[in-house]
Amino acid sequence: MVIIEFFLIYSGVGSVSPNEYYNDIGRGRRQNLQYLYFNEGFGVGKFNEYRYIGKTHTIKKSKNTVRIILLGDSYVESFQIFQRDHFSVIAKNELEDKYQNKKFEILNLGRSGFDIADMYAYQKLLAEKFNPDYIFYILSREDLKPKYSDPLRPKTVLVGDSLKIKLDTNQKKINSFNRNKLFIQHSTILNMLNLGIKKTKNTPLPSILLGKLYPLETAKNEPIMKSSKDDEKNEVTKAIIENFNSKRIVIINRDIPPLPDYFYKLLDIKGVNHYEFGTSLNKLLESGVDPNYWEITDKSGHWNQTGHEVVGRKLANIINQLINN
Amino acid sequence: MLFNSFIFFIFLGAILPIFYFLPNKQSKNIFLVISSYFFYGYWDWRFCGLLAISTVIDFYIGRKIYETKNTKKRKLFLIISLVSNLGILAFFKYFNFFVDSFVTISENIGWNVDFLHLNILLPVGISFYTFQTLSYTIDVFKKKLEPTKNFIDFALFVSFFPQLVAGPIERAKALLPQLSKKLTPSIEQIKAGITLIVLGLFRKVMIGDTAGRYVDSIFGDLNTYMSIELIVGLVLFSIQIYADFSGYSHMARGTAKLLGVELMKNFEQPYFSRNITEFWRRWHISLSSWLKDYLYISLGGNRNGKFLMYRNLMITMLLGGLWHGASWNFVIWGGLHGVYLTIHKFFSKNKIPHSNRIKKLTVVIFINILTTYILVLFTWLFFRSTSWETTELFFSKIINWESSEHSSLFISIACTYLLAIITLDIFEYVTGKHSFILLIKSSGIRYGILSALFLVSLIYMLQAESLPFIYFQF
Repeated sequence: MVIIEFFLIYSGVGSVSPNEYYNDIGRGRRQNLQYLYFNEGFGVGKFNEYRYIGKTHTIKKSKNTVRIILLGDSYVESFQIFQRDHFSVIAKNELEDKYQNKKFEILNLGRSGFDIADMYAYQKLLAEKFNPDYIFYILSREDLKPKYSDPLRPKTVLVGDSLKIKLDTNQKKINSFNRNKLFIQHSTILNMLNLGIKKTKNTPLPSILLGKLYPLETAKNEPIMKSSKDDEKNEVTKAIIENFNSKRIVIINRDIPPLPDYFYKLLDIKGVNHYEFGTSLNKLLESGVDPNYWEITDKSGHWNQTGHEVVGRKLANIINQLINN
Repeated sequence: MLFNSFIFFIFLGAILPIFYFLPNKQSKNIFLVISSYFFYGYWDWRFCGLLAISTVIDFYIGRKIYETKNTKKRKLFLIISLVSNLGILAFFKYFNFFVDSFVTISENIGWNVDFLHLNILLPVGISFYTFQTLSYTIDVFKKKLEPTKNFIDFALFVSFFPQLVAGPIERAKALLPQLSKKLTPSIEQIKAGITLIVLGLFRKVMIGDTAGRYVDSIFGDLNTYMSIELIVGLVLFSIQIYADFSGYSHMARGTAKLLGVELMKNFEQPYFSRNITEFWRRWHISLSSWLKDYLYISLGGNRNGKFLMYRNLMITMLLGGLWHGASWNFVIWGGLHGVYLTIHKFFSKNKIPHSNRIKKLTVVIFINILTTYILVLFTWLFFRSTSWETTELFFSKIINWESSEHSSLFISIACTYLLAIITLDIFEYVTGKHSFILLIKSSGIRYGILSALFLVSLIYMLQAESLPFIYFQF
C-alpha cells in the first residue's frame, strides 16, 4: 500500500485534500500545497503562504503598483486550468503591455462555493491586509444570498444593525475536521475513497455498478423555475453593500443573466461601480464558441481557456477604465 | 462491456458459478456462446448479427474447403470467405476513409466530386475477430488445420468473450482444440487467472487510464502547453498505450484461464527491446505473428531476394498500420516502422539475435534499448495525433522551444510512470511470468499485494470515469 501511495502521489494520480482549518479564516486552502486537478479540464497550481493560488505577494505594496484583489467562487479560483492561462494573468499581461511604467498585481482570492457573505468575510479577514487599490467581487445571481453552507467558514451576520464576522467555534466540528484530515490530507487512497463515497451521494450506486443496465432517468428539459425568493432582497446582502467603500469595491456579474434589479439599485445608491462579463461571454457564445464547454472531456463546466481569454481581456478593459477615471 | 467496469466483474461473478456447475462440454460451450454474445451485445446488440454472419460463413466455408478436392473450387471458397470477411471490415471500417481520401485527391487535381459520406458506427473489435476467423479458413485451405464439425465450438472460437474485442488474435490451431474438450480449469489456472486479472486491471486503470488523463489533456489542446510538457505528454502516451493494451491482454488471459482456456501472450516487455525487429517480437505479438504468417510470407517473405523482402516488409507494415485505423496517421506510423525494420535488416544482415533474453546489461545494450525506445516514441506521435496539423504543431512547438514553469513537475510525473511500468516489466522479465506475484512463497504477502492492487483499482474506478481500451476502436 505504501508503494502504491508513493506512485499515486508522485504521478499526480491521487490528490490529497487541499483544505486546512485556520483560526483566522476558518477552512481555507493549505499553505504551499502544489496541486494537480482533473475534472472538466486539467490544471496545475500552487497555494501560496497566504493560502490562495498564485505567487506570493508581500503584504506591503511596492511603488507604481496597482494591486487588485479578486473575490469570487470557483470561476475565479479556477482549478481546471493552468494558472498561466487564468484570466487574471491575461489581464495583468495586457495591462503591463499597455502601461510600461506600472506594475499590476492581481491576487486571486477566489474560493469554490463562495457567496457574497463569504466574499465579504474574506475581504475583511484577508484581502484588506494586502492594502489593495481595488477589490473585485466577481459573482452571479446565485451568489447574492448567504447560504452559510460550510460550518467551518466565517459567517457574515447582522447583529442589530451592524455587520459582524463570526468564526464558528464549534469545537466538535473542528475536532471532526482534524480527525478526518489526518487521513485525507496524507493518503491519496483514502482521499480517493472519500471522493468515491461523495460520488455515490450524487449518483445512485446501482447506476455506478450496473452501468447501462440501470439507466438513470434523464433530466427533463423543462426550464428551471426560479423561485421568486431567489431574487428577494436579503438584509445581510443589503448591509454588505452599505458597508462597501465605493472607491475601492467593484462588482462584476460573471454570468450572462443580469443580476436582480434591486441589487443594481443598491449599488447605484451607494455609488459602487458595476460591470458585466456577460456581454463578452454572450458574444463569444453567439460566435459559436461555448466558453463553458470542454471538448476534451465533453463536459460543460467552468470557463475554458477561450472563456478565460475573453474574460481576461474584459477585466483588463475594466481596470483600464477605473485607472483612467 | 469494459473489463475495467464494475458491470464486468458482476457479469464474471454471475457466469463463473453457472459455468462451473454445468455438467458437460456442450452445455458449457453453449452457455459461453450466449454469455459472449451478451458481453458483445452490451455495447450495441445490433452488431451481434455481424458476429453471427462471420461465424456462419466461415464455419460452412471451412467445411466446404476441406471436403472439396477440386483446387479451383477450394480457391473459390477461400475467396468467398476473404471477400465476405474483408468486405464487412472494409465497409464498416474503411468506407468513409477511402471515399474521403478519393474526394480530397480529386479536389486537389481539380475534379469536383461529391461522394456519399455515411455515418457508419464501427463495430467494436471487428478487426480482431475478422483476422481470427480469416486465419481459420486460410489454415484449412493450406491444409494446416482440420475444420471443426461442431458449430457451437466454432461459434465459441469466434465469439469467446475474453479475447473477442481486443485479442489476443488466437489461431484456430491453438484455441479450437481447447474448446473441443470439456473446459475444466485447474486450481493453478484459477490462481494465475485471478492474479493476471488483478495485475491487468492495475496496469490498465492505475497506469494506463491515469496517464491517459494527461495525454488527452495535452494532445487535446497542444497550443496551451509548453515544449517540455508536450514531450512528457508523448512519453506518457507511450506508457498509456502499453499499460492499456497489455493490461487488457493480461485480463483477457486471466479471464480465459478462469474458464480453463490458455491464450497466447500478447506482450513481452516491448520497451526492453534492443532493436526494432525485437520490438515487433515483443509488441502485440498476436498481430505481428499474424501479419508475418498470413501477409508477409504470402507476399513471398524473404524468399525472392533482398529487394523484394524489403518491399514485402514495407507492404506488411503499411497494411499493419492501416489495420489499426482508417486514417493516414496510422499508415504513416506503420510506414515508419517499415522503414525502421528495413534499415535494421539492411545493416544487421543476418546477425539479429533470435532470443529475447538479455544475458548481461552492458552500456551498449542499454544504449540500444534507449535508442529503440526513442525511435518507437517518435512513431507514437503519429499514432496519437488525430490530424497532420496536430503533428505539425507538435514539431513546431518543439523546434521553437518554450520553457515551462512546471518542467520539474512534469519530468517527475513522467519518471514516476516510467519507473512503475519498468518495475512491473522487470518482475515479468526476471521471472518469465506475467503472474509473477504467484512466485512469492508467503501466501499472506501474495494475497496482501493482490488485494491492495485490486482494492486501489476499484477505489479509483469508483471515483473516476472509465476510459475505454485504446485498441477497442480498432
